[in-house]
Amino acid sequence: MSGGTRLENANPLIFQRSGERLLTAADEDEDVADPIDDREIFDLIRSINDPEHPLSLEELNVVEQMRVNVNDQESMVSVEFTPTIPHCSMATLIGLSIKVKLLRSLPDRFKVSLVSSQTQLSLH
Amino acid sequence: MKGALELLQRVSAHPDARCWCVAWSPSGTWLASCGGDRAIRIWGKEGDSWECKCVLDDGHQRTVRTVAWSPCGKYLASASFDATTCIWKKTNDDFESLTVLEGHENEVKCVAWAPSGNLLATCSRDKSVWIWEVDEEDEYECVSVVNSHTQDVKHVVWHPTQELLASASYDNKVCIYKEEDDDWECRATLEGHESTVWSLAFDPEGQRLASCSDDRTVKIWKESTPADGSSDESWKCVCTLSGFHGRTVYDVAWCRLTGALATACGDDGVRVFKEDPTVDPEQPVFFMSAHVPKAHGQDVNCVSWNPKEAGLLATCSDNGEFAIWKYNSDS
Repeated sequence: MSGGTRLENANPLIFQRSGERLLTAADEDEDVADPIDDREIFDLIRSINDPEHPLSLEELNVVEQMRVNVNDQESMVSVEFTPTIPHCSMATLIGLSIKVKLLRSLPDRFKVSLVSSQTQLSLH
Repeated sequence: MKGALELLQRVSAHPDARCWCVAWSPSGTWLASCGGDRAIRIWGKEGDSWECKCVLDDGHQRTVRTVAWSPCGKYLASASFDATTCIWKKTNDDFESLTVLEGHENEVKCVAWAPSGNLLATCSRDKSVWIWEVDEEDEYECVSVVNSHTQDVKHVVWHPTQELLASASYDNKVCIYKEEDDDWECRATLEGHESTVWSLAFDPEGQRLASCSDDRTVKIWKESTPADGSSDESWKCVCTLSGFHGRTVYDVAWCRLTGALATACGDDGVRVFKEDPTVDPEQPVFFMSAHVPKAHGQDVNCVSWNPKEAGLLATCSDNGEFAIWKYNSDS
């Protein structure tokens, strides 16, 4: 992908994966509407693979549940992601992977915004 | 002076696909729509409602992105992601495919007829703008290919009275073209937007150009004639409308009859702006006269003023619908 065998980040820090979501009694109840929350969005994007390593975006801390903001009522989702190194040339690719995953998984009414700590990004 | 937008009708024009563009015929009696289902539909009013009169679904292999009527109203041009532009001729109750213009390397994003009716412009993701000439025998010939943009060209529009063309691109710039020695070239580049410029519209007199962008603003540009009389043309941004749109502004349309400015936004809203008449026209001020926050259930892609009936506005959306609105400037 990045021409040649040199990796952008050969020694990334690996983070521990958080466990599965614990279901509450309200979640199991068919008559109660489950609003889409931060955890649900995070579950959709956490296992997207990093372009360089056989690791997920969660394991590399590129995405974190803390940096996902959802407002079901307003149909808005905002995800802030952090590439592992500054000036990562694959930041646009990672951003697009997250955006497309969400656009394909969420109802049509949702507006998805991606923000990155990196300034040079064009996701539109 | 608060105005209002009243919904007259909502039509599910292109089911399960995006409706990308709506265009009124010059007579104002037909509305053409096109979309992701590869079809073009022609709508006419029957009594109080808009009904589908015609479906053109075999002209393109991929999404039809823009439709445009010729100034005489006898022809329709359609630009498609299949890299072709189709010219349709209106027969009694139908349209037949007259010719297919090929040449672009990939998706054609927009097509526009010059007011003279003899010239056509197309633009594409291949970064180029093509200018075509039509002769009396309905023969189309490409006369210029201009590569002024460095990215996908989203929109082309002709000046209402002069032979001048403007284009908008993903490279954040607007280019102005004029013909010089039988060749079209870029005469001015308008910089200022911080992101993709999606669409353009000239004001009724052709003195100003409105541009809308992914940076959530609408900019108004005016051509400035230098004081020393030199032929250097430059356009200056004389007004920026910011803080009104929640997301990308996809389309802008300037009404020929009333001077009102309508916008289509990614926050599902439709807005109408009016110019403050008391302010110096060299530094115009626009205020938001009407706003429908959830005009559609998804992004609004296109907005178009009816050329004959003042205040009649058509809009269309990613959810495959188009809507007809009545705008009143005083309510």
